[in-house]
Amino acid sequence: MNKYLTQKSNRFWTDFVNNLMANIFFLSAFIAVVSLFLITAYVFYNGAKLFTVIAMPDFLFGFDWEPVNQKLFGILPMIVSSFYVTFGSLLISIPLGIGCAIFLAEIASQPVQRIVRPAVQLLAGIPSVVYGLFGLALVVPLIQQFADVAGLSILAAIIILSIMILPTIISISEDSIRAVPKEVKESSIALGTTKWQTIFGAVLPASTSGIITAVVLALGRAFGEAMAVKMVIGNTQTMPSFSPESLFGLLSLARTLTTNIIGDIEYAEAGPHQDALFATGAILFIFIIVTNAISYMFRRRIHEIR
Amino acid sequence: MQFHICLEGEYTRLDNMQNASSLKRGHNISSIKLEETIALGLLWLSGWLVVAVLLFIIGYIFYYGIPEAFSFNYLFLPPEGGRYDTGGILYQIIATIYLIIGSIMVAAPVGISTAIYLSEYAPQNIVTNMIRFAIENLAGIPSIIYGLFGLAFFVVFLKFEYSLLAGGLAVAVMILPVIIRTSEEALKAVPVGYRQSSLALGVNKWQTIYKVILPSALPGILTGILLSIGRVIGESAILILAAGGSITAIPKFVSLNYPYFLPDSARTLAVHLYYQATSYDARSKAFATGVVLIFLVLFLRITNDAGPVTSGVPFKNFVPQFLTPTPPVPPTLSSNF
Repeated sequence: MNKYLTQKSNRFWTDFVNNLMANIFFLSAFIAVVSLFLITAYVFYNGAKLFTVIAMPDFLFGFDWEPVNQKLFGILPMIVSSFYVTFGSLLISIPLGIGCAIFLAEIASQPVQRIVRPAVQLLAGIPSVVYGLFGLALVVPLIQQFADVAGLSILAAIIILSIMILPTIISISEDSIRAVPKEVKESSIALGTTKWQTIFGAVLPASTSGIITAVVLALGRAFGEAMAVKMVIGNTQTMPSFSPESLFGLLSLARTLTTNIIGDIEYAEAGPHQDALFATGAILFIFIIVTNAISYMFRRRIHEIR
Repeated sequence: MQFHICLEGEYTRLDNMQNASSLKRGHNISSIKLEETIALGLLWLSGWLVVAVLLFIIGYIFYYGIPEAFSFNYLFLPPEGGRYDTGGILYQIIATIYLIIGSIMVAAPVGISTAIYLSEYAPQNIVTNMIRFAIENLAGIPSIIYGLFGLAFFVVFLKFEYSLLAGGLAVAVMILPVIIRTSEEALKAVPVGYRQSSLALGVNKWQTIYKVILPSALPGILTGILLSIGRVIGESAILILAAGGSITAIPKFVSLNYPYFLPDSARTLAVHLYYQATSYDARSKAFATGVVLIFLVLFLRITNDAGPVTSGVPFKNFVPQFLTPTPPVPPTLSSNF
């Protein structure tokens, strides 16, 4: 009788713990949702407070950022330079990254892969401030020497960013190239094509959606990168001059959306100035949400093909 | 269905290409050979260029930083006089360690529990989709947004002031998706047979998870935690926004006043590197800090490679991956970023 009772109470406790843990797991999982909600709410709420002071078009399309003296909060130059820097770096890293991905997936032998792949992963692991330091110490003086300008420039930011987003492009493109069904490759080879013709004509088209995912994710990363860009771009709030003397803006100093936040937060006082920085973050956030959605769409397409 | 469309598409594309090339060049084999050589050569070049860039960056930082970085004075003395450029980085190292402990202590339990929920419990319904959507989006948010959130929520709303606690919690939210993803993959790699045999013994679900599933998924989970420690070490934007940049005192771990843990504003190594690099007279010190950071990242990388990714005993072979003749792990789309 006694033994039966203890067993029953044990049973009660094990069941209780079982149910409790199930609930704890669910609540932890819900923390992700709560965090995303809080992040969105706080960034957008603080950003929206700005629009009680100035009008939305003045913010988005204003040319002048004079937050302290004249209460002017125009971020158009920053939007322009953000896009300039992002697409400039993509221009370098897309060919290089996809080339490296093809090399890893189709050409390199096992020992070579065992050297290149850790290198790519390590490139992803290096902190962004180290890239910034590298840019500041080597790339900026080089530009200074060759072009007789300040050196801190959009070009320096493009070079540093293009290195930083390489791992994203390489690893995701490589995965999607590897996921191309063997039959596609074999049927191409059976037609008597060379290796390059197979890669260009059969493998690459079949892995397009994966490569686009990679590029879009890299775009988001480049757009959101703050520290490394801040260190090499000069952070002046003027519109980059698109004159031929400055190589169509490449050599001019600029400020992106992210570096605007990093640069001003140190002295911004609570009030319109800080709210304007949150609003800048909100614009950045909207853009990131759009790129996330696009990459999510394409990633689902890869899984369908698989 | 999709598969067939894809295949047919390939055939027509190949046909087009062959027609075009034969029309244009008139079956010129040498030109095809030339194209082949150039194209493969460029691919080879781009592959090795990436390695060269990495080696060059690391070599450059090491060349200028090594002499300073491995001196006792630099590693174990506190910074002097509140300036950027004198003294050592003792406080920064302590702050970095505290930050790692704090953020992992928050993110690891939550992340692993989330992964357990997603892989063991989650039904196919709208709530699960919502959770997955949230994780997917959290992973894509740039760190500066986390920084703004940390500033608005932890620093201002919860009144933590600029502190390692505020920064650490914001960082914890940032690494949450990393831990969830890797842990979930590790849990999913546990064979279904383990679960079934455990349940067949009359053991309930929680006991199965605790006694059977978690132990065999542990190496994979540890991999995720090491990966996120790397992210924490390299993070700077969040900490500038939420943890401030004080270097005047040794940071405390616990305190009797309001934010009871990690209450001090402090600089981690990455933040310190940023301030050193942007003040011109401390450039050489910045290189030394960079060397320390790269060493930490390399160390984590090697420890990570020493343990197998999904199953078996952790830290079985303490040799970097590229030196051991293990077969490559089949790539998965979500594991690499």
